[in-house]
Amino acid sequence: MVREKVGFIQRFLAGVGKRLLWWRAEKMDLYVLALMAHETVLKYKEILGGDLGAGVELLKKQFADSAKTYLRNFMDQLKLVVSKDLNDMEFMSEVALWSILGKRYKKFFIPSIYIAADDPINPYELPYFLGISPKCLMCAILDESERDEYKDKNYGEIITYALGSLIEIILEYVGYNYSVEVKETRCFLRGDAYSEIIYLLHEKEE
Amino acid sequence: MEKKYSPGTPEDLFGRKVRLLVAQMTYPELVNFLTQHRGGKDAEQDLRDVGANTCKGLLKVWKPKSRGVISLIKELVKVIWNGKMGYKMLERTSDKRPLLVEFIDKDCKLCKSEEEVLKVEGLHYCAAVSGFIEELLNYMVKQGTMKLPYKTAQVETVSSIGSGDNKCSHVCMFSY
Repeated sequence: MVREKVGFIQRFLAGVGKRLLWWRAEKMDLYVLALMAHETVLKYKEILGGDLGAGVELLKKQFADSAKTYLRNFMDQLKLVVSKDLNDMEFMSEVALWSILGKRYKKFFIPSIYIAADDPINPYELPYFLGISPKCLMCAILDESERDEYKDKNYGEIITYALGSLIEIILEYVGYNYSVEVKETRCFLRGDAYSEIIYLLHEKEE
Repeated sequence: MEKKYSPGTPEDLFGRKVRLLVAQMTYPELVNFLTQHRGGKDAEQDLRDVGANTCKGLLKVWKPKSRGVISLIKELVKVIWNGKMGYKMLERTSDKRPLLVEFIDKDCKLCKSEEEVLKVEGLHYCAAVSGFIEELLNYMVKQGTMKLPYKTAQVETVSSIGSGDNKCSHVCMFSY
């Protein structure tokens, strides 16, 4: 049964668990991963008639879809630290990011915070989670000459779509019926000072 | 919230770790897409290209320390995913130089991403690895830093766990 709110004991256990999960996990170099993603996009571009946008969209969709399958298994490791309280998403995403990227995850992702639909700062009519990336895993490997070509392709969304899948799976696990729409509202490549991603929650129709 | 404009650099990423699971989520999608759109043989070449170009990018930041062929490949797999790779000398030239060397991986991280065996004629599932190794060996010899005085190395994946074989083998042919 899913708890209503994450308590002190779960937070303590998560503190130990996330370190253990990270320590035990098979790992690879982050730069090699970003390069592989970039080369995959370029290969898709070549096959899809030179259309970079189509290549980015294809990898984004593939990543989001496969993330749903793989991360469902990952939920077995996270189930002790989830709750129905959407304000706990910041804590839950922190544990998930720690388990995926290790203790320095904050260099790339600040855990998502919940903004209710009726919050005065909410410009949408839907609840959403707000995430910020101080550095972008995807853009960091692009050189100056490439950045202009990628700036209107939502390239950073490749990774955030997968995080959107993770949020959707957590919500599904705790009993909500939301689909998650990912929007990159600020982007380094478009000249913003940081990358900002919102995860809009749409009630799914029964 | 105002932060300093900094999308990051390759140096911010290199040496940091991420769960292998993330790569294992996307590699099967890449292989499936290529086999559907290109057929086995071309897909194999595409995977080799992805591996070779990834290695090119890696070499902009990574400076290998090893000068011997075997130790260099071991250093490579250690850097990429903390892996191990064995080897077997298959053939030598008349003056005892290595001609054919087989690199063997019984715990291939790319093949682990596929739960079912993917048998497509002409395709070895982890062919990207041979592109990676070939690029590295040819780059290093051009730098003039290798002990073995080969001119070029040509690497081909000949068996792959993800394609139903019991081990992954990448055979390297040196020309002098």
